[in-house]
Amino acid sequence: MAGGRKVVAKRRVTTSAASPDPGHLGARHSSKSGVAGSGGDSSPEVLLEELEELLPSVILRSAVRLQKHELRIKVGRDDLVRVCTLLRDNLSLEHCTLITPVDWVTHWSCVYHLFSYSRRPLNLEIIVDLPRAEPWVDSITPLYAGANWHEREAYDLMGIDFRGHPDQRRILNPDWWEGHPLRKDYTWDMEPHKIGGFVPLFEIKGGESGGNTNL
Amino acid sequence: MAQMWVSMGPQHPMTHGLWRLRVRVDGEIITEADPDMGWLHRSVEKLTELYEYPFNTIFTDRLCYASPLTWSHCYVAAVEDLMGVEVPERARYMRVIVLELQRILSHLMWFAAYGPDLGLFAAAVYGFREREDFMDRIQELTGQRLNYNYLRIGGLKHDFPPGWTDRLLETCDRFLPHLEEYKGMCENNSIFRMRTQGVGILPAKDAMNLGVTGPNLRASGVDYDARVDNPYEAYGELDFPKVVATEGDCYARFVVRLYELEQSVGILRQAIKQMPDKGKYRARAPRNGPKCDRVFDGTGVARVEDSRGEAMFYVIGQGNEYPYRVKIRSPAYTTIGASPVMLVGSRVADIPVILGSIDMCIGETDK
Repeated sequence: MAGGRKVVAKRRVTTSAASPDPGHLGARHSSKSGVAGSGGDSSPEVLLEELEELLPSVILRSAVRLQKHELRIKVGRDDLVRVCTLLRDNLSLEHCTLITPVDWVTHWSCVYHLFSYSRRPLNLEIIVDLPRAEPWVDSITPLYAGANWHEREAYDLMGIDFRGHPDQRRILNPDWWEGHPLRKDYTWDMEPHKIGGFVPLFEIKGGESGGNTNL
Repeated sequence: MAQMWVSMGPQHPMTHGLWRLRVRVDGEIITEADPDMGWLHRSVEKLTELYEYPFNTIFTDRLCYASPLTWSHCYVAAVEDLMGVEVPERARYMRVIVLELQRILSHLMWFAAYGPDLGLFAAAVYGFREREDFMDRIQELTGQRLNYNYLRIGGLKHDFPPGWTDRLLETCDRFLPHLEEYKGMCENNSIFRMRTQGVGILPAKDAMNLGVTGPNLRASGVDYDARVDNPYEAYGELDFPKVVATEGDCYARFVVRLYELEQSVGILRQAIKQMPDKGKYRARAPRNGPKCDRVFDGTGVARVEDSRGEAMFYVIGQGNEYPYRVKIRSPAYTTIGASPVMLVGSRVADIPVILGSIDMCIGETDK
């Protein structure tokens, strides 16, 4: 039995020194050793140059934070899917970490955080501004399957419409909920929503002044 | 044969929390799965907009009952990024120690819950026995057994008590022989391996595209660990191997977590050894955050390796003591979103095995 255990451990678990190089990662940038900032490949400045070369005049603004290996760009709403397709297929940013909808009262923003495993720890922040009257943006779920629930959550809580989303339903709130709670103009002083058919087990005596709640 | 929908949850031993899984079955085989979330939604993101920066650790502590410290750490790291606070060196090592202690507690909690999913009740008894030893240490440190409230913006609440690190090392020494017991109990157990090997396979390509992170991703063969590859706090100054498996099935996910317990003990020992003896445990943090210029500045990001994957906070400031927007990235949320890929094609009896192996926490998922 002890011998069996050893074989299992050897076959199943490897440490980083002996770990197999995942060959399925992006073809263009082969997997580097996982040391932070080890090569020019993982540099955000290189990514910015590549983006500007492949998609000229798409990037409206850009900023680089070298310490965090982060590139931040702002693109127009119509260019988002084009940029994301290029990032996923050619620039090997495989992982959509997070989609954040922001209510700026005058307009909306959608902030996309992407990450690269093969150019680690390179990460990218894409900001897309949406006009106040038209809170819609094209869905990136066909590109990044992991964006599915993030977009559903953004729709549920902020009311952003993701066009082309395969299954845009509410996710955290029930289907019959009205309004989008994370909006800044969402009213708070409303009757609390109750789950249908709820019957209180007992009533607290003593009126509004508190009274005996030890029931 | 006619297909039918079966509803599991929201109160079901399989769910490890409060959520509902709808599966469509064709006989015993699952053909479609639809997780239904939101039963534990407490609107943490909205609440954090109403309270000042330091007070929000109360909510972030309650995001996950199994690892409050890592969630609070992720939040304070994002706020430190937002405010530009430099954490003292001793505090960075102290944070690594408490974070790894929290990871051990969380993984032991998962081990103790995963055994009963497979009918191996001994795992629950063994797991909680060792967890109790570590709980005593964290209780000595923070005074609590749940929701420790120990992280502060700029550092920690207070210094370690005298002799605490020595007692923690003794606990680690006591724990490692028990870890061998776990390995013997599961790896040499043919029933356990029959239930888990080849079940719920998640290929690496799908795992990356679906946004699965952490131990579940490493079990699929992608050797990414934020502590090594994108280091934060003092992890960059420590030397430890990543735990990677290649199969991507339930057994691989189990083995990765089991060996991460060993890895965490190694990090603990190293960090205690390298920690500076003297120094500040907290830096002074400003009360107000900067104002976001609506383009790039005035935002804070933190990506950390939570026990369940890559946790992330994205905080936007508005120039006063309240955050304008706080966004939480929960690793379990995307992993549950990816669970239909693992479930489809499996049998109904494998549902608890697969969903137990991804180690979910509904508190952080529903926010």
